[in-house]
Amino acid sequence: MARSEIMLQRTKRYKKMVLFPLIASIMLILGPALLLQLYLSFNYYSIYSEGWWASEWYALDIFSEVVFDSRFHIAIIRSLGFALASTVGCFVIGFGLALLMYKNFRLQWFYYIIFIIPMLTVPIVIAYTAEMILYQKGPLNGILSSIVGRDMLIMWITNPDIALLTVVLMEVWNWAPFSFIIMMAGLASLPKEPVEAAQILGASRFKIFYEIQLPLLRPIIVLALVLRFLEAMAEFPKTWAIFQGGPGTATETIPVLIYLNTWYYFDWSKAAAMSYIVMMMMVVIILTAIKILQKENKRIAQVQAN
Amino acid sequence: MEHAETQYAQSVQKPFTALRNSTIISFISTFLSVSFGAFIAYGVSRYKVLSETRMFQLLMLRMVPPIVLVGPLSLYYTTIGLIDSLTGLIAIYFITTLPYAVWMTKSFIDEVPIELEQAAEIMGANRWTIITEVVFPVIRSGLLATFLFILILTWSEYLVAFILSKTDAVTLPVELAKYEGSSEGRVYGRQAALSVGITIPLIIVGITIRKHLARGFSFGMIRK
Repeated sequence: MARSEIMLQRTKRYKKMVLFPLIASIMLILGPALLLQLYLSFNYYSIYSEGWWASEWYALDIFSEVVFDSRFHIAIIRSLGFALASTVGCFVIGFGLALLMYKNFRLQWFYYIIFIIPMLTVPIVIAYTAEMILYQKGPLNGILSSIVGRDMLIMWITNPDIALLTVVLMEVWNWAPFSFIIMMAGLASLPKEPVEAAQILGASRFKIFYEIQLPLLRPIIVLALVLRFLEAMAEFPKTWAIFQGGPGTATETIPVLIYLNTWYYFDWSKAAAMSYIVMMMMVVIILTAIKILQKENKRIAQVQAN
Repeated sequence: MEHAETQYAQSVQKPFTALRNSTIISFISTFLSVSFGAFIAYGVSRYKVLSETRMFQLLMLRMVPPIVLVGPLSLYYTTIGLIDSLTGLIAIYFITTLPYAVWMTKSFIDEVPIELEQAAEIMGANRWTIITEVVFPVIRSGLLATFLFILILTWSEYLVAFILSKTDAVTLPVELAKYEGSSEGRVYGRQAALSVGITIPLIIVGITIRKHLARGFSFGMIRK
């Protein structure tokens, strides 16, 4: 046998060996769960059934109930809105901080550490701590009052118009550092020559930023936005621990609604059908995101190679 | 009666059991994830065992919101007896952190000059020796960073642990939710103390690997 052929065989063997645990765990753990999810969306299962295997065949009834459920529609819109708002919030604050910070200055490392701490805090801890701070007569309103000079009694938790905004603010506090560190890395890897050349030619700082730095940073900006958006779509601990979907249904995002249907209303089949639709929706979104990332990844590699 | 007992058991606060569980679960699942991930990453980096498209598809394991699968998963776990067990949680964390492990270690392995391996091969080293005695030692700080990065993610995970544990496999973030009972209200002091206890180690670990955080969160796409 030729040497190259032996190498090819060895590579194949290596491939089989290293991919085995991945494929096995997917087939043993995720596979059955996926099948069960599909099964539950066609068979009505409630806690009064003997077991999930004894549930009753409902054909497409469960799906059609979910598809026309306005609470579900609103939850989808709410989730998308939440993800969009918190992504933009994180990005604006993170990028802003990165622009202020990326040039070397004294104690830069110190501020860097301070700014990444929110990201390293356990989300559920943020939720419980925020709950203590956000009471109507709690510390946050106290601080706001002393700044504004009159009594601020914002009902961060109990006002249904503000509740979702409160979650967005918590999410932004939690994850602005994510955009910050990524944009810091991006700004640090930018080539210096174009900026220097533009400075010599007398371009204003704004123009340099807008016409040179921003286009070069574009792939990294896209990366920061896409990854944050996808994570925000799955946000659960902060929404759940304080609000449980309330007040009313004001903070009922997709994860919360699915959770409520499964473990509060014990409507497993409805939750499974919802999950299935959401999963399909997310797969489409993720495939689009992946395509964008795949394209931008090449550009990022180019920028980083400089 | 049985129900009452479960209720009672669920409300009992056992912070040290939770600490033990969290430690076991996060260390074992992270170790598995990084070690298997590193071998896959080496294969991808050197022999393209996964095409670029497949690598991106691997990200799905991480990007699909876990809530869509934890319900059926808990039923499945109940059926096969893995519910409320450390093994069950380790298995699911292993799967969901594998994309980070593969991508992040690959970004480090890509930076190892291939001449190093060629030299070792000429001296008669086989693939196993090349990987474990040439490549991994060269990127050991990267492997450690990957390990600690995934440890942070697993340690602070809430939803999956919350649903797949009842009493025996409760982790620290889930334990925290127990300090809010219907009879005694919120136990602010103890909850706050436990919060600090959970968070401080993470912040220390995070600050230690701060130079690698961007690389971790961007799946190794940003390398500086």
